[in-house]
Amino acid sequence: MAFEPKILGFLCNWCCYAAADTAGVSRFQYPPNLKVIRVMCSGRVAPEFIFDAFINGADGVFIGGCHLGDCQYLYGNYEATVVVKMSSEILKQIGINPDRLLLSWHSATEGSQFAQKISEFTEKIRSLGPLGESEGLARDVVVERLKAVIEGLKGRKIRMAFGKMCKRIRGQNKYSDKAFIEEEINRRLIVPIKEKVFKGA
Amino acid sequence: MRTNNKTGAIMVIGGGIGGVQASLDLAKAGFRVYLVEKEPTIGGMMARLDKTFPTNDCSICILSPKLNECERDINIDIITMAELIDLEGEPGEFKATVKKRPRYIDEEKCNNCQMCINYCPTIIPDSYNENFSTTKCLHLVTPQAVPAIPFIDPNHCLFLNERMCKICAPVCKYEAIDLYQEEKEIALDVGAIILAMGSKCFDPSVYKNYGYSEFKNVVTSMEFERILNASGPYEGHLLRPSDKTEPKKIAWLQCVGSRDINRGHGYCSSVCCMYAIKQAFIAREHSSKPLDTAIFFMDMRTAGKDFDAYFERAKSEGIRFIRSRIHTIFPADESGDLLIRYIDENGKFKEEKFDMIVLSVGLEPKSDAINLAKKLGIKLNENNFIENTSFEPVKTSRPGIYVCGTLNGPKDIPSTVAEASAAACEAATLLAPSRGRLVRVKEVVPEKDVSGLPPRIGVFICHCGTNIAGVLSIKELVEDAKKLPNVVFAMDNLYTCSTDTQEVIKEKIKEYDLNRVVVASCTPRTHQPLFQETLREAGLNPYLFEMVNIREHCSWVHRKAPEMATEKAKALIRMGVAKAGLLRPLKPLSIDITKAALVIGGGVAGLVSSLMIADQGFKVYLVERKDRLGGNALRFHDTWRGEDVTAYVNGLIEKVNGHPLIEVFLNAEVLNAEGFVGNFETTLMVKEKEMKIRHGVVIIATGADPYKPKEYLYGEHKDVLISLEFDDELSKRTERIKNAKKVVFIQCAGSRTKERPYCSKVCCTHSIYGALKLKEINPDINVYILYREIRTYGERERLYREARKKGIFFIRYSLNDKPKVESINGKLKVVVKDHVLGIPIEIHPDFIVLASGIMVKRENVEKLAKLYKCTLDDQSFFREAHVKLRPVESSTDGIYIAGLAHYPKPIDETITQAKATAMKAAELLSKEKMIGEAAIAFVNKDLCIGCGICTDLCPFHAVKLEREGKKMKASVISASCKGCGICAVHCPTGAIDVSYFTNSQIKAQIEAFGVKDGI
Repeated sequence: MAFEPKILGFLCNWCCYAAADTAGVSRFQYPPNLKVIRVMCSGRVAPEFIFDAFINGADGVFIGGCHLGDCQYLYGNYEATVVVKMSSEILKQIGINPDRLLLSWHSATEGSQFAQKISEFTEKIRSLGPLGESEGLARDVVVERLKAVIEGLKGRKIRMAFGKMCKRIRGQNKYSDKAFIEEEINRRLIVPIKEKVFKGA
Repeated sequence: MRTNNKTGAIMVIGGGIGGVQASLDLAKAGFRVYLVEKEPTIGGMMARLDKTFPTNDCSICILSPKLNECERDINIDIITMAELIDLEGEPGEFKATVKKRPRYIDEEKCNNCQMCINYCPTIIPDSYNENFSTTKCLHLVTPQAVPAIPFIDPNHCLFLNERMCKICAPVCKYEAIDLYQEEKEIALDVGAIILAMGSKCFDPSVYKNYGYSEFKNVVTSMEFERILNASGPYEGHLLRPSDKTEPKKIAWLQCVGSRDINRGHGYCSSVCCMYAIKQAFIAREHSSKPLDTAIFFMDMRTAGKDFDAYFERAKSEGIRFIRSRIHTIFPADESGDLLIRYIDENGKFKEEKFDMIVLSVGLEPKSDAINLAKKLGIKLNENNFIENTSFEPVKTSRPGIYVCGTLNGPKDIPSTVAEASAAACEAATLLAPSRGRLVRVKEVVPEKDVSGLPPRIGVFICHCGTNIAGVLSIKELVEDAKKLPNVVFAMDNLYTCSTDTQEVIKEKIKEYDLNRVVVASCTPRTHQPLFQETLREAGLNPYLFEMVNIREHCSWVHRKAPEMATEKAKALIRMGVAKAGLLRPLKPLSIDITKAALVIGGGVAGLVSSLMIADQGFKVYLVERKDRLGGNALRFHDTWRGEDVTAYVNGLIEKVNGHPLIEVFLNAEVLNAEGFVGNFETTLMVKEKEMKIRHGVVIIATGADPYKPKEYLYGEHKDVLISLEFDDELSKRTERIKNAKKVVFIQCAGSRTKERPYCSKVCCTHSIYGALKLKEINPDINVYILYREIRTYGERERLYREARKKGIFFIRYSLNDKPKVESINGKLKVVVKDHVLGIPIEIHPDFIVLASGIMVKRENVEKLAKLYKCTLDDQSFFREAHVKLRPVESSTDGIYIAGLAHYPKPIDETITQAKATAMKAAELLSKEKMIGEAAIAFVNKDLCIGCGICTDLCPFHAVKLEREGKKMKASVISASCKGCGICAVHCPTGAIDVSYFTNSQIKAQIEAFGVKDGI
């Protein structure tokens, strides 16, 4: 049987979920590979949800929120940008193609854009194949590493570093400063997580 | 004394943003509302806009929640396709008759399955999309329509016109289609009426030189909004109408139908400058290639909050602004391209070619609104807007009838929203004795205790006619659901949302002792409240419910892959059931409210707000830092319409001092503040004595100060005055005023500069008014107004016209070539470059008036903002919760902002805001208890380490740290939490989590997603 990618989406209630509704009302067709978990805000998506989704068979993870500036909760989608950036970095570090994780903004009227984005993402994941395949990693290796990441993310030190980093980004309003965020993530999070994951490996 | 017979109900006419806001405010404050809308759906003009300025927010996204809220409120009856035809009686006791046109669809029976639409054979132009696309004769006006009920266009229906067809009727399983439906009259008792009928776009066909009727690629700005819109005719692709190709050059022509007494209207429409800039921005975003955008204008009137910065950004991003007069538009060739012939600012004829032209059409009153006003005996002004005064901006000439929005003069959305709340405030004040008398209250069914019981889940799967069942195999879904963990019952329904199915659900809950319910049907965004209500009626907590969307997210979007779609639906149901198993009953917190308001600032805003709150029966503490009430208004004399400000302010002060419910503290300042919405405790320092007061809400009306220029010899030369000093001399008719032969006004003295990059909004009108007064005193006087743009927005344009007619000289200067003021032997000399002649001219005025602008000193407000957790913008003005839809609320609940503290504005707008804040205050204070959100954050204190990350990251300051023994612990302020869950993501120990979307519930969904299946 041909490979059918499994994609899990976290859509915020106010914009992206509504965009998916609009796509429905307008009958914009897209592939059925996406399954959706509704959250109130894209800022509700914790990094461990993303890794857990991959462990549970997702070949791709989609996070959809409101356009920047439109968040019902003011900062939620900005927080999501940090979480996704950090998660992508971690994926990269453990050898998983970060293209398997996509963050996208869709307002409630952007039904056709949503449908198109999901179609494109589905095709992208299809081209990458099952999780691990394009990475040249065996499924059990991938799962083992992801589990180690989740374990790592449970550590209080790392959690504190993560929280404090987000506080700094918010406090200094650095959400649009990519270099600053990358530097923060690399310095405070990637190194300790890598240590955890590859400990003994 | 007469007993109170006032009717505790209000009729709001017009369901645009103004009417919707007024309805919501009144319903929240304990009144019944009849919202009468002429169209089949509410939402008005705002619903059809693509984006809104100056934030470029999506219009329908921010409006939709309000429309849905209106529909769900049991105290708001939305009466669509209806108009008021007769009104008798007195204020407080009106008898109104409303005529409702037939929809041909029974609103009670229809559940919007849209099956009928599929069968309707008649295709008609879609007027919602400005006729650029088509729809069915039987159709839903828009996917976001509220109420979500289709209607039949009687002008096109084959049956209604020719007695043939009738295909739709038998299709409807609920017999909702009634082609014999007739017009009906509804009699309603109401205490007050609010007119919110809005305005319409000017029809540009009268300008033959613009060729709107001839050339396809000349469109109106409303047509362009639809072209840009994702739900519009081209699905948001930027295309021009003639050949559906992407334009590379677009021009906007301003003032089409505005500022033109010959073919259009004499007034300025107030909104077009900003929306043209917005459209240029959005068009550039939508364009796949770099897009050339040019705005042809007379003056850019970007006077509102954050508007000037928007204008500056537009210039810096390459949007071209061409100051000009348009001569003609004519075709360039056969291609559809157009040539604009115009006269530039140097008086030269020029031509430029564009692919497409947008006419920035102005706003004008609708004929039905004019007719209704006349019928009701309400006075209209010379422009056919409702006549009002600066001091009573939302009252019509007929007592008991109020007005808001663009029917009351051209204005933007935030001004409309503020007026709506102000009009609601007037009605609520008139009817205050009858508050609560006609409200409907939900019946309370005792809730079954499910704690400790194993989950027993019932799953209800909807066919939605063939909407779902036509694609998915419902039978398979039911069979699969039955096998899921904790599911004890599963069934399918033709329409799960229909009234009879609600009874079925209640029976099954009883029969199978269900304690969790899952419905798999359409979107929870519209239908979840309905099912939660059913659970409530069945004695189950409404949060023991989970909804799975297998229509919008499945059957409708995967029609070509029914098998895979069925597998997907199974997975979605599996995930919903997994979450349902972990659901817990939630109780929103109910909190007592201290029924008093604290008003900070005793200027006009504070005085009006205090009076309107007290007149509704609530205690007010009014705090003023100085030793007298009145604020800046004490230094004003006339409004732009010549009304006496001094008499008005003195009247207000007298009323406030004599009001039994208002306690005034002079020489007083706020020292400290604790608490949150509903229950604040503020410490005041009154004449060096500390005192504590308890109150439920705060109105911030701290005003602003006049800017004192450091240029143009101000403070150095006795003949250089600022506007307020000039006003004072003018009112006293000093010698200087009487003897002056030459006077120069210099505009933007301290506004729109690098240090203060905003427009002070009032100065143009103020200076022109003063100049006209000087002309009145001495018709031979020469008055020069040196300006950058003349911003006599709205109906204030009348003054500008008059000033030009009376021979006042207007000379435009630019920021990098400002007028030079010198003193030569004590005599003033002004040199300014004439913008038409391009040469410097010299003026020797008797005195100079500097239009010096309005500013806030940061040190005056910083502490206050911090104490009440409000934010200030870079210019120290208080930030509103939402620039468009919550203009008088701060982002912290229970704190409202009025007047100059928010942004520079004239007195009428200040009064409107003050009344709006009084309404917001009354909404809260009129309640016995405050019911918070139920799905909010909660803390496991055993795990909490008191790190404070959640307190810092919460956007609403809803988590605080409290000392418990020796340790600090986080605690959620239930009244402030909105349930976003940002705290839960960042907690280092997992101590804080958010109800209804808990970590374990989401994890369960992820795991259920992972169960092996086809895809």
